[in-house]
Amino acid sequence: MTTLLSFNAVTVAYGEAVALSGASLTVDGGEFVTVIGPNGAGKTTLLNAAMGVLPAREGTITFDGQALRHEPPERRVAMGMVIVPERRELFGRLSVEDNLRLGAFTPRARSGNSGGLDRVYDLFPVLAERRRQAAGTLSGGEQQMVALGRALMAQPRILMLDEPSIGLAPRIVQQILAAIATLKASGLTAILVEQNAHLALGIADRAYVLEAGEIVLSGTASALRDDPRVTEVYLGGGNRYAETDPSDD
Amino acid sequence: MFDTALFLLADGLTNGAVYAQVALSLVLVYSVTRVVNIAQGEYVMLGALTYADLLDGRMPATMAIVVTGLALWGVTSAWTARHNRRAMMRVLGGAALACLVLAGISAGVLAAPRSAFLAMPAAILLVASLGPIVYRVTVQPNPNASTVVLVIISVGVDMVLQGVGLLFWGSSTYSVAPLANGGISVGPLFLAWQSIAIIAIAIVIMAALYAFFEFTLYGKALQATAINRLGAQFCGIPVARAGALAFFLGAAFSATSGMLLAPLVTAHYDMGFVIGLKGFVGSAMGGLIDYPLALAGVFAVGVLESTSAYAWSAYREVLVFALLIPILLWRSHRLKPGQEA
Amino acid sequence: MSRHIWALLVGALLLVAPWVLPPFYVGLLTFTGLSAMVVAGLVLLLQAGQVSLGHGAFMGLGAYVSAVLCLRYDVSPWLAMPAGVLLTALAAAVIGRVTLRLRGHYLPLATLAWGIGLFGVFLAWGELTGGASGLDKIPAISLFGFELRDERLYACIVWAVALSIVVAFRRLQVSRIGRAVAAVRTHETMATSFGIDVAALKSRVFILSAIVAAIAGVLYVHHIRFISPTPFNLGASFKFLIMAVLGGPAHSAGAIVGAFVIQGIEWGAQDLFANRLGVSGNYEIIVFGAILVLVLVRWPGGLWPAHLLPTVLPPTTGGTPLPQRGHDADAGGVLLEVEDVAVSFGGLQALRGVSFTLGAGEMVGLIGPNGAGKTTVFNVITGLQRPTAGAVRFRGRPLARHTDRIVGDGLARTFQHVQLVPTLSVLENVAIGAHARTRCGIASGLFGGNGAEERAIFTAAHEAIQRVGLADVAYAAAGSLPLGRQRIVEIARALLADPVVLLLDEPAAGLRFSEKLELVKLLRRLRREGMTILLVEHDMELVMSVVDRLVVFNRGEVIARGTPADVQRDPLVIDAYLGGVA
Repeated sequence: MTTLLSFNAVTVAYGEAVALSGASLTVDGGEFVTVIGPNGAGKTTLLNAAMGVLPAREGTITFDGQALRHEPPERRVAMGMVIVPERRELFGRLSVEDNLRLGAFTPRARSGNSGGLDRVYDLFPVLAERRRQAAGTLSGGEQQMVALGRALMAQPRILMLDEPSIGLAPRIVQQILAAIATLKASGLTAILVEQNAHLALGIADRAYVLEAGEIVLSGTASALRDDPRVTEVYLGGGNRYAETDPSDD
Repeated sequence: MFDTALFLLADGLTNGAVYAQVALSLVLVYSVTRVVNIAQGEYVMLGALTYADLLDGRMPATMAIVVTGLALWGVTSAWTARHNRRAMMRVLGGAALACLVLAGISAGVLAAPRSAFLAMPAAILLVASLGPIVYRVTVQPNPNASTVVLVIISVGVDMVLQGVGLLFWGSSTYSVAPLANGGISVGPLFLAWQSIAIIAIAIVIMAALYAFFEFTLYGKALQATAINRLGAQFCGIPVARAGALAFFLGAAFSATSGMLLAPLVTAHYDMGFVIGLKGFVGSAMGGLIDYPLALAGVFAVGVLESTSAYAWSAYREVLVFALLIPILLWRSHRLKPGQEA
Repeated sequence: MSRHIWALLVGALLLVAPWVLPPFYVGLLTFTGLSAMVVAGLVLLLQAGQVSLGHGAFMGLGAYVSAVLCLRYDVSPWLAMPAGVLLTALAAAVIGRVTLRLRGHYLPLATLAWGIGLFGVFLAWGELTGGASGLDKIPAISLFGFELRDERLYACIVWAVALSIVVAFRRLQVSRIGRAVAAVRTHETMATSFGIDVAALKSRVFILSAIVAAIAGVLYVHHIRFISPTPFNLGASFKFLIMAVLGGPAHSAGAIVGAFVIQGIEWGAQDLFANRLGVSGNYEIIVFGAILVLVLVRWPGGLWPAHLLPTVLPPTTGGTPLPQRGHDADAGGVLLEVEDVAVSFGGLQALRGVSFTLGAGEMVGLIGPNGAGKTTVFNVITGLQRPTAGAVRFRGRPLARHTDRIVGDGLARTFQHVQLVPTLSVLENVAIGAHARTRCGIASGLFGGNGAEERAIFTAAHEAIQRVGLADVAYAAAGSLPLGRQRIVEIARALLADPVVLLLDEPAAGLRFSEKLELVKLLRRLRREGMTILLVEHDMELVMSVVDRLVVFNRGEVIARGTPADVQRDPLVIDAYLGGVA
């Protein structure tokens, strides 16, 4: 198994605000990796750095053996790095089908993507019914399906999913999850960034746990599923801020 | 009375059709790049004068502007890419190639027998190629500039283009032959062929733009960039190239309207600015983003202009620009409290 | 003090120059002074983040009104000039009212249309304005029977006025209003939260900038004693804009620099084209346009780097203390009651039946997973979001309906994404917090009379800075501090609003561990001093260790309340954070 994407001690900051510090991780071809952690931990930042939306201040990001530097997001998409962003970033005025077709904009995606649309419609039959409807008028769950479908149209070599469960009703989450499971079974390489730890650990092969911008735990998903330290990360079990002598300030 | 009204209406529609092409350019450029392009009208002027030069058998001075612009663009982007020899050579090579191609086309048109049908596309191509150059040199370097900064930059570009127009063409006027002389009488109304051509070509351009947006992937990509820049990048759409394309098409439409207008008013170095502004007054109706409302706006401007030219000729321009006030009031009344337009 | 000496030196030089220069240059100097007045107004507009492409028309309106009143109605210039300025102010008020509520790009368009339209009126209304050929024999200004017609004396008067305007505008820039203007330019939401009426302030600044343009216009017309539309065309407006952009918004004196540089270039270019190259025509617009593009593409923030400018060193002692609200009545009682609040956006229910209270002297944390509704609750309390149902009561009364009134009631906040004015000093940033507690307006900012209040503001600001431990960087530009200290500046600014309740929106986001430790110390100290604090925070370890109580949200509802220890054990909370069993 060869490494497809790797982060080597990557630090990312918004101005002065450090959002990710010294993070290292790898994703092998065919692997399904999840990054979990409470909100504000730096999960979205990690994906934005991978896509080139944010520059890495320190460290290197490598895709398929090539170190990435100033390539803008569209270049990375052309290389096969595709994201399903948290806010979906759909084209609200355009129809569902137009949104999906635009997913296959790059030459790489267009060559050998004859059946792409049909595959997306097979995965989410409801989108086939709504193909002419403006994407902005769909329900949240359907929009998430369009976002996922659009990303698949780009023929991803690695798919990055940013909180696909956020703000959706449990029934819809199950539907999206089932689709992701199908994709996983077909051998897709993916990173799933999720706050919902139980959900993510239920589907991934391996996992990393982020806390306040740092990777604090990693291992196989099954091992982390029963690790009490994960709960501690989410609910603040540490006591580094314990009150000492009030006169110290 | 009815005849007069009909005549004024026809005249207003002709004006409106000229402004419509500028309005399409303005909306296209603003929605894709956020640039409120004060300089848009200068492409009208350049279109008219370039066309006049080609019809008179002169190598258009526009060629010199394009060469200078390409050199400027080549030098600045080669400087940005100075650490990457291959990228640098690609930029410089591309600029040189573009110069050769455009010069070749112009020379070819001049060598062939005079024909509006050769001169017009060549002139459009020449003027339109300035659009991306302006975009690359003045807009692309600061992707995060505020709208206000971008407006002021476009004022600077306007001054440069107008000054260059004066420098190359002087303050004399150039008369341009209409596509066809004469016209037809429809009942009491006489319609000049040129007016009919203006309206027809405006309709063709609108239809072509509609088809481009509706039926091609590149058209969809341009719309996508206007709706959601980040989303477009995540689809692999190169947004900087989309901006350059918007500037190219904008310049092309505006140049076309200049060529069609020139036979009616004669071409002159400061003919463009005010036409650009009238396009703005109309486009403000659609907040610079809505094509149908912008078109409604410019036809309102055209008709108001022709009726006021008849009734209060001295105040024609004043009335046209005063139209902006009700338009802005209308827009701010459509807002809910706390919401921005 | 050296900067005062500089100012005096430049002023003296400008007032002496007319008496030693050859006549041609005296005329040029007068025009430069008139331009500097208009440009001072445009620089003020730029400071507020606005731009006008039609200020030449404001100058023209003042000039025409004054000229027409003198010639056609035989009014004395001493009455006609104020009338010209007043009418211009009215016109600006109307334009401001129509455009300033709309987005940024409408003001340049509207002023552009105004410029062209008014130019058209000057040209078309022949019986009043003389049309294209204009009006002549306009009376000169006379003082005690003595007509001001001497070129040199007039140049002196023009520059005395121009310098006074620039000095007054500089005073304004560093006053309460100037700080509010900077706040409006950089962060409108923050400005509103500290009690600044953004639309009213923008409109006043616009009117003031039109007034100084009109002053330049009336001084121009009674000097030249002839008027025609040409000097007030769009080209003139653009030239003023270039001067303003070149001078830059960093310092009001930029108006003088910009006016001199561009006037010099124009004169040089005309000389070059006409006398050396033998071509006629106003080709200098190519140079001007290129300068404009170059400056804005290369240095979009202005030519003068902030660190080259003199630091503002306001007095930090004395003055009568700022008014304080009585806090005693609150002791032990409930300060903030959120009762059954619901919010829906379109069909989406963002909050449902949310109720909680905040007692005096308590520190309460709002927590919950992403998308739980914390931000919406925060927005409801700070007035940015109106609830669809339910009520928020503060000290027993319903919350003010306008965001800019809430700070006056005693709710002051910080922001998740730091909203400081990066170019202002820490002290000046903190002083913005006192906006709602202070009164001095534009007039006292321009002409003085705000000294005592400024002293009081800065004394209080300095105390707040000492209280949070930033005294060592009081005069540093806020943008130069590390994020951790910027967040503390935000807390100091909120403290200066004399709050009853402090609302902190993710104060620890993006901080390093050492910075978080400092923040925790500060929060504990404020708490000990009796401050009531509501905290939204992601860092669970931090929030658990500082608050008294927690309110936990999930999917728009409150799912738990209690002490940190209780909440950490609550199975509903654990489920909400880690996700139910999939």
